[in-house]
Amino acid sequence: MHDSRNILIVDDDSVLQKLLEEYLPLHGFAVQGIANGDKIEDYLYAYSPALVVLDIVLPGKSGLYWLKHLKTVYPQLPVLVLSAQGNAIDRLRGLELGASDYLTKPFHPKELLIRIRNILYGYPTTSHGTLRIGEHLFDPERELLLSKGGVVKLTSLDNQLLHFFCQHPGKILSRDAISHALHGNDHAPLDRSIDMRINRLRKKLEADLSNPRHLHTVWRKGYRFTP
Amino acid sequence: MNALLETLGEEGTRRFLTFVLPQFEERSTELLAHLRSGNWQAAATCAHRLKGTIHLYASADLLDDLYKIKSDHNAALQNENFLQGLEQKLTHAHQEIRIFLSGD
Repeated sequence: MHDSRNILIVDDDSVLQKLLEEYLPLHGFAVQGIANGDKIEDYLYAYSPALVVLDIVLPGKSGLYWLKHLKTVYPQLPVLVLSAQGNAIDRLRGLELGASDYLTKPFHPKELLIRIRNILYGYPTTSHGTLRIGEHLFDPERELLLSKGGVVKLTSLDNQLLHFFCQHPGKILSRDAISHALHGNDHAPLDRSIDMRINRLRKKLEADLSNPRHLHTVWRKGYRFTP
Repeated sequence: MNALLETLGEEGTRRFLTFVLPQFEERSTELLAHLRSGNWQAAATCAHRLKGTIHLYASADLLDDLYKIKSDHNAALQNENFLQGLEQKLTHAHQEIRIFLSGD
C-alpha cells in the first residue's frame, strides 16, 4: 500500500533535489531523492511512494530503462518523467512506456506540483493552481473561494477541510478521518464539531443547502465530496 | 530572487541558497575553464546542470547564455566578449546570493 503523500525523486541534480525537498513539503508532500536508479527497488520497498519523478538523463542506466522496469513491475505506480528541452523523442518514448506525464527542464516547481496533484488526485486544476468546484474556483494557497457572487476568504481550517475533500473526490470520508486530517494526532475521536464545520463550509459552497451538490452526508458513514 | 522567495519563503530560500552556493561556485568555475579550453561537451554538461534551477535566482540573460553553451558547441563560445559577459553574470549571481545570505 503506498502512502499518498510520498514522492520519490530520481535525479542526479542535487540542487534540483534540494529545491523540491524544500518546496513540496510546503504543500503536504514528503520527498525522498536518489541520484540514480540503482537503489530504486530499496526505496520503493522502504518508502512506498505514491508517485515517482524520474529524470530521463541519469548516470548509469537511463531513466527510460527504469521507467520500463517500473511499469513492468509496478504498473499502477504513476511516473512523471523529466526531460531536457528540445528532446521530444525521449518524451514521446516516455509516454509510450507508460509515463503519466512529463515536464521539461527548467521548470517552475509550482508546475511540477500542479502535475503531481493532477496525477494523484485527478481533480481539475487551472493553470494557476486553483481547483474548480462546480461554479467556484478554490485557491488553497490563498485560502480563497471565488464565485460569480464574489470572493470568500476561508478560515485556515475551512481551507484545510476543503482541500482535504478535493484530494479525495467521490470517496466516503468518516468524521474520524476528517478530524485526523484537520487536527493530526490531536484529533478527538467521535468529534461532532466536524458536522458544524461542514455545515459552515456548505453555506459558502452550496447554492441550495437543502439539496447540496458538493458536500453530501452519507448516513452513518461520513461525507462524500463531488467537485 | 523574488521568484525563489515567493516559492520557498524566507527560511526555505535561505536553506536552499546555503546549499546552492558552494555548488554554484564550483560549477561556474568548471564551466569557464571548459569553455576556455574548448571542451564543449563538458561545458554543455555544466551548463545543463546550472540551468536546472538558475532561473529562480539569477538573471534571464545568464539562462540565455547557458542555453547557448548547451546548443552551440563551437569556437564562438571562446569569444572574449562572450566569456567576459558570462563571467560577470555568474559573479553577479554569486554576489546576490551572498548578499541575501548575509542579511538577517
